[in-house]
Amino acid sequence: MRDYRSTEERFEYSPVMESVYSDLMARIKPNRVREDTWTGRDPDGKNPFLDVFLETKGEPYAIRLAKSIVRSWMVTEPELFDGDILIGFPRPKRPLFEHFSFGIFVDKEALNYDAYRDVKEEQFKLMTEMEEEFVPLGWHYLYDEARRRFVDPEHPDDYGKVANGLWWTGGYQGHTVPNYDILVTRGIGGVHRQVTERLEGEEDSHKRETLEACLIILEGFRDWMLMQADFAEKKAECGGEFADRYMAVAENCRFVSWNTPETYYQAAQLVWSYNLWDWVDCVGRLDQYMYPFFMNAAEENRQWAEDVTASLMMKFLEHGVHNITVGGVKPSDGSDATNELSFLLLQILRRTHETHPRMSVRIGENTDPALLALTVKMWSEGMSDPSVAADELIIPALINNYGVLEADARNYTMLGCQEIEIPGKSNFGCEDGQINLAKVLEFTLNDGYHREWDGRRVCHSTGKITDHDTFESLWNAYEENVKFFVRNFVDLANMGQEMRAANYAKLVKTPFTEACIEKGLNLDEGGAVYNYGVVETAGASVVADSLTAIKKLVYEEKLISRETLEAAIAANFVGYEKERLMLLNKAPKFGNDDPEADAMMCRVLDSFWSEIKKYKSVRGQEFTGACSLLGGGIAYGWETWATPDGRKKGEPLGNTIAPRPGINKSGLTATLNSIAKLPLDLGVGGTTANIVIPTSIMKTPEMRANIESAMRSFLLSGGQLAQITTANVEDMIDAKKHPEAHQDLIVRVGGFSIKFCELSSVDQDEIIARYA
Amino acid sequence: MTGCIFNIQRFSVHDGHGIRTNVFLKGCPLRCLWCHNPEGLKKEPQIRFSPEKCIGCGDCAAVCHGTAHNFEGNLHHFIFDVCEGCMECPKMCPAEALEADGVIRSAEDIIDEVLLDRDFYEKSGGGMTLSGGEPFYQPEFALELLRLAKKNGLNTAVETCGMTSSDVIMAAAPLVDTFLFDYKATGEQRHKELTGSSNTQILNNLSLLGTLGANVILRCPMIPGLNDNDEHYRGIAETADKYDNIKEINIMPYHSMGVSKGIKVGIAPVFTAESMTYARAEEIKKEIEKYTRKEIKVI
Ligand code: SF4
Ligand code: SF4
Repeated sequence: MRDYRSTEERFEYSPVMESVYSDLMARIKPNRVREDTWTGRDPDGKNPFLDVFLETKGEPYAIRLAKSIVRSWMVTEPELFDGDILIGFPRPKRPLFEHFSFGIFVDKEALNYDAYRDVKEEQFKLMTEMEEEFVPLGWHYLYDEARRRFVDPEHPDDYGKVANGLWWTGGYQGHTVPNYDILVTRGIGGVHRQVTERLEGEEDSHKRETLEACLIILEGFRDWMLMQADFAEKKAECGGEFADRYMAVAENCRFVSWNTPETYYQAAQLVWSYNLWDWVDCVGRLDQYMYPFFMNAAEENRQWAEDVTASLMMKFLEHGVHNITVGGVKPSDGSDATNELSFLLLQILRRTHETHPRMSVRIGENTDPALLALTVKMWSEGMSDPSVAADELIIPALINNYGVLEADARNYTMLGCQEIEIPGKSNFGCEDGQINLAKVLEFTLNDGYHREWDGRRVCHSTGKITDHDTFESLWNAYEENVKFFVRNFVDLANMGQEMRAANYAKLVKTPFTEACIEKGLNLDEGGAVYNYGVVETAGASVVADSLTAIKKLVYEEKLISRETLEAAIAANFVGYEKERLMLLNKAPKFGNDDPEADAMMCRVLDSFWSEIKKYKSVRGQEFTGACSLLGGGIAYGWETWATPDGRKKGEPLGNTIAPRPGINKSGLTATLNSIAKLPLDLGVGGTTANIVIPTSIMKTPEMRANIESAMRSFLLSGGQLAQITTANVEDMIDAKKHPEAHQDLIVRVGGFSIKFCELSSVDQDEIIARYA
Repeated sequence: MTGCIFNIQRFSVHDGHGIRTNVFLKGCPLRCLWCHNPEGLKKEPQIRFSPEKCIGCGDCAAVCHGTAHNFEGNLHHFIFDVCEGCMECPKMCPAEALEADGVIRSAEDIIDEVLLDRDFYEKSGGGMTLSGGEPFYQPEFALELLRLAKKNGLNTAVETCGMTSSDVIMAAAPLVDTFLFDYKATGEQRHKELTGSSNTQILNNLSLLGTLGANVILRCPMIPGLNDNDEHYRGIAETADKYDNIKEINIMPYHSMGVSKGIKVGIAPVFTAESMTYARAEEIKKEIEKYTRKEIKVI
């Protein structure tokens, strides 16, 4: 392909990479389990963590953990696929393994696997006895406190009744982007020297242990790289078509096992190897730190540079890398950072047409317009990647609201599903937990009592709906409960963080996160430069629409009495269909560019996000909001009672910051306008809008230009993040069966567009037939 | 100034250039057999009834002075003929089973709503499109909307059947960036049969726009069995070739949605056929291309 920026030309693999790719697809297709990736059980029944912990009795925890991690890699057979030029394959699942959120994960179930038949009983016993050695601070630390606060100690299991549908505190906190800049510019040896120097004269034993553990990881990584090299060399010695390539792999691994990479190929091997050790977590701004290497390689031999890039992307695909960010601005001067590699990475994803690696594109005022054009082209081909991020909102918000230095803010990256952080310098606690505001409203409307747990009060008594003479009185009650839950949430989330710190959950990331070495702290105890907390928000639009409906129909127009509303909600609207429909249809809803409904959504978010900002994460800095839950809206909705926006018990709450399905009736621009009005600068943990765009309205270049314009407007004037769901004929077929889930599906009919679900069934069939 | 509209559709990306907002004005002088917007024929607000949404609460009957709402148990029969059009019952209906098809609004108010998407128009080169019904069936109101749009610097387009006075066309021409001008039948007699009116005035207006040098796209609805014939294809080509200011021909394949929309406003269908596939429309495009070199698009 001549021009990576082109939307018409397509990227093609070289013949040898094409065959590597088809082998890869044959290998992973049958194995898709978690997010399209797969790791098998250990066929040899190894348990390296147990072995090391038995050998190292009495040594400090950090050291034992570091040695176990290294051992677990060293006992894993290398794998180099036919014709491939990068090496490195994940460890299989075993009964003990490290996990970036929990520390060591104890999975005794795994002992039931065949390979462990002979050792099962003995290892089960040992693993049970040694559990506290593996996990110095377990979940009980958090749960004991949660139970103490919320339930009768006689019935500890009752805590589930409080927490289900309300929150998940302590979170699944794991994703961060390590400093790949440092990795490729200093190499393993360079960082090893830095840690060694830092260790000199350090007297604090905890810090010494942390730094020594880092050294063990770095040396272990080197040894493992050399092992990969030996393996490749043996394979090369067997001769055959690819012997030269395997020899190159061996030389490559040997060199970067310690040295700073000099070529693109070396840098790519180092990035992939370390990414593998980092649990195939996010790799940040790959198009930035790799660009100087790529440019040199491309000048010399473009085909080779493309092969290396393709091989790297295939590794990311096979093992499910969560996020690669391209585009955006340069940290030094804020100018457009988009380059040839940004486009090439997107073109390779376009070629594979797969869901992994997930990619994000940063768009700002001065971003090369071709980047958004290629993005929209990829959506038009039915992909939902890449998602888009707004530099104009995110950079100033990081600087002004969270004290991030300008150059660092300009260097932000996407990670996890839709979260934001400063690569290599931060632990934003992605994420410290989630709160469902709709549940808070549910309790508030019922005087603090749980609806399905007889006679139990879970928060402040703030009166029933009938007790509030004015809307403001009801609002104050809701806000009081928000404060109550936030206070408790923060305490518990911080305990979750203390667990991670005690368990060294991010040991591999620690030497490659700036400031950890200087401070002598691990990444979860505040080692990084930036240490915010992130709270995911669920149910915000349901709360806003409920409050708008109550304000209008109950307090202002008095069309529904407070008594009736209370009875209708209590009955989950059974026998109150008329009232339900009034609440649903006779009050404006968020997402339609309606000033009243949107103002309420602003108020709901502002109140919650400002409240969490008053608290500090135990790592050191304030909490920020986020709203990017996708499936979460369904899960929380399942547990949430009927709400005064006309939503029945169990119905979804809506995903991300976008309006609940079926609520946005005024078209895409109205929805984007509504979202851009929100205080998204307080939600820089990552607040995304999930937008449905049918492929049928992106068919021609003119149509795609319109979508580009719409996204540009959104991203340059107040939007933060957007991710796209494309709709096609299959969606239309599904929409016929489940219209409630497809209210925003627009189709084109004889020259104009129309909401699919508003059509009669006969008309829907006609349209499906026309497109089929 | 006020007028009657039956819809404002934002994010329209198929009519005219860029991202547009379509304002649908009520009322039409023609009666095309296949009308795809029957809810736009009548000039005044009217009731649209979707029986499948009705929950039988009876609130509509309670506010109605007449006898339009009749119940057999929970089953609701709406008698369109006796409705006096006071438009009180849709306000009551919780289920959106009764909806006002047409509201009276001021031009300023409508433009304010159109301007909500200004940023999108600016980035995409879009703007406002007047549609209907026939926008010029409320001539003063349509002109006022166009004036206000221009005052605000918006790009404007009008979808018109061309059946209006030449004065209106003269007044509109400087305010309209693109006329989407219908061409439905070839020959006066055929035009009468299909639309209920002669096409003399329409063709005069088209010629007038030619003299004025207005930007015109010829819009040709293709109705199976009614005008998908060679004589009409030639007519389309000849008409387009006659005027330099016609830059493009659009083919709009018939769809049958007008039928179910009509039933909701109490209009029994006079013509039904299966929707035309895009593949068939492409064939027709090829036929017309034999007679003209003007650009033809299926939309
Ligand atoms: S519009 Fe008025 S007259 Fe017609 S049915 Fe409704 S209430 Fe009755
Ligand atoms: S008010 Fe609406 S829902 Fe109630 S009976 Fe009339 S049409 Fe049906």
